[in-house]
Formats: sequence, C-alpha cells, structure tokens
Amino acid sequence: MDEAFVTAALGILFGFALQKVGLTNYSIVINQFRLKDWTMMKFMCTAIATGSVIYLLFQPETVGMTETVPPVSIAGNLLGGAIFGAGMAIAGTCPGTLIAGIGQGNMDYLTAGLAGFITGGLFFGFLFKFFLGIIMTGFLGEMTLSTITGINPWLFTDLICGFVITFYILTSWKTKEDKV
Amino acid sequence: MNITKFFKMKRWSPWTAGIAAGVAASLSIVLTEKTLGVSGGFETIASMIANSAGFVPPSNAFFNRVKPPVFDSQLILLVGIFAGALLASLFSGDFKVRTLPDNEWKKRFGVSKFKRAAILFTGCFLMATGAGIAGGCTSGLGISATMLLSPAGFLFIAGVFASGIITILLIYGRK
Repeated sequence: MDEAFVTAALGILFGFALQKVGLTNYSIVINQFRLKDWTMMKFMCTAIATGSVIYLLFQPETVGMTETVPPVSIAGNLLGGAIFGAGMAIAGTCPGTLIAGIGQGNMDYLTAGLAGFITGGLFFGFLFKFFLGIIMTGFLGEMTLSTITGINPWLFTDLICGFVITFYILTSWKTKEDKV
Repeated sequence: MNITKFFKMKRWSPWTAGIAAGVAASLSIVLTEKTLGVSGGFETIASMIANSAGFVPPSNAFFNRVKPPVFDSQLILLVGIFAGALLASLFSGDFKVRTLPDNEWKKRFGVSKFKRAAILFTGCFLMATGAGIAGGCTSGLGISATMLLSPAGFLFIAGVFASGIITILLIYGRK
C-alpha cells in the first residue's frame, strides 16, 4: 500500500478521535493538569494499551526492537517533557490537538498556535548544537522495557491493559456512586 | 447503536476514542514503520522556511541532516489530522469558528484576543522546544513510544505531567 495514503488515512482516524474526545478544547486539556477532568489520561492510557496489543500481535518477530523505537535520553526525555508540559499547560493544547483544533474551527490555533510551533522549531533548529548537549546527557539509544529486562513484552502489555481495565472499572463505579 | 448515530455523536467516551487512537498509532508502525508523531511536521516546516530564506549555515546539522526541507509523510499526517477533526466536527455539528477558547479561559484571562494570542504563542513555542529536546511530543513519545514499551515514553509522560501540574497551579492556584 502507498505510504502516503496509509499515513493520510491514519491521520484522519487520529484527528477524528481527538475531536470526538474533546481534547481540541482548552478546558479539557488544562483540567487534566488541575486533576479535575481525567479525559486526557483515560484517552492516552487506552490508546497506549490498545496500540501495544496490536503492535505485538502484528510484529512478533521484531518484538523488543525496531528502528522505529524512539531513543532514550534520560535528560532529554525528562527535561524536554518538562518544558513541553509547561507549554501545554500554558496553551491548553499540544501538537496533535492543535491541528485537530484547527479542523474544528479554532482560529487562535491556526494563527498564534501554528506561529508559536514554527518559531519554536526555528529556535530549536538554530540552537541545535546547544540542545544536543542536553540530549546526549544520559543518552541510552533504542531500547524497550523488554530488551532491558529480558522479560517477554507481553508481560508489560498485560500490566498496562490490567491498569487500564482497573482504571475503567474504578472510574465507572465512582461515577455511578456520584449519581446516587 | 446504529453507526450513523455513532459518528454524529458530539462526544465519544475517552475509552472509545482512545481505542481509535491506539489503532492509528500502532498501524502506523506496522504499515509504515514510522511513529505517529506530529511535532516532527512542524520541524520540517521550520526547516523549509529557514532553508528557503537562505539562513541555514552548512554547519547546522539540524536543518541540513536531521530535518532536511523535504516534503515527507509527517506533513501528510498533519493534513490527515486536520481533515479527520474537520469531518468529526461537521458530522456532529460541533464545527464552529472559534476565536477564543471556552469558558474556563474567559473566567481566568478575559476576552482579549491579543492576550490569548500571546499566551498561546508562548505555550506553543515552549512545546516546540521541549519536543525537540525530548525527541517527540504527546503522540510520538507519549502514546507511540510508550506503546512500544520504550522508557523514552514513560520518562516523557512523567516530565509532562509533573511540570504541567506545577505550571497550572501557578496559573490557577489551588482552586
């Protein structure tokens, strides 16, 4: 299958899901950080669990390692994540939901949001040499929990699925209680 | 439930929508051997701008080699996400030209469009920098790397949530 076609189709599915779950709205994103609305956490955990199962079902021979596994950099992932998290809490969106938000008609995302991401990309790119110092601190390369521990990846996937199912049962039960 | 009604719903539960996102993220790896990463597309656009303006010195590894100014599938992904959200919001009637975010924003920051633009720009600038350092964003690392069981994803999520919670406390206080 043509890669461009597949990518477009998967993008449509992803954008559709992001809009339907409402993460294209400021309140839903920031209320996760305020611990008032758990939509984002539920959405992400379910996506991770589902994706993890499908990936293992389809690619058992490459389990453990493929070139597509994003490399680990302890300082880069953590510090980059922290800078990203601050920006996400300030803006109330992230790259995927920004694009999806433009799709539902958010004009601020189309103007200031896109401009911010492109300017930030220029900033990062021109100062790449400096940032590379951070990225290379604790750089461990491509690895997975399975390759580190030598344990079958299905164990971790099962744990993630168990966590999501428990999360689902507990929150559904709590919602019912609240209604009573 | 009938299928038309399902697509016309204004909201899907996060569990349902999460399954759809998980299918998209995993099939991206299975079918194209690429993570479903969004922030990379913005970096390519930045590279196209920097290169076409002639501002990129030959010594700049990022705009020459890491993100050369070539049209790639990450840009197609951006178009797809846009189209998907457009379709979803048109089906449900949720599409609307919105110049400011919903009530939560207005309660805290008022109705100034300039203020919104300045704050959104700052947030997105920080996210672009953070995603560059981390090697991805919420989709490429948060969902995709974690799904592949890479510690990169778990570390990224920990960083995002710790910092996001502190930042939002500074903005909104303890209420």
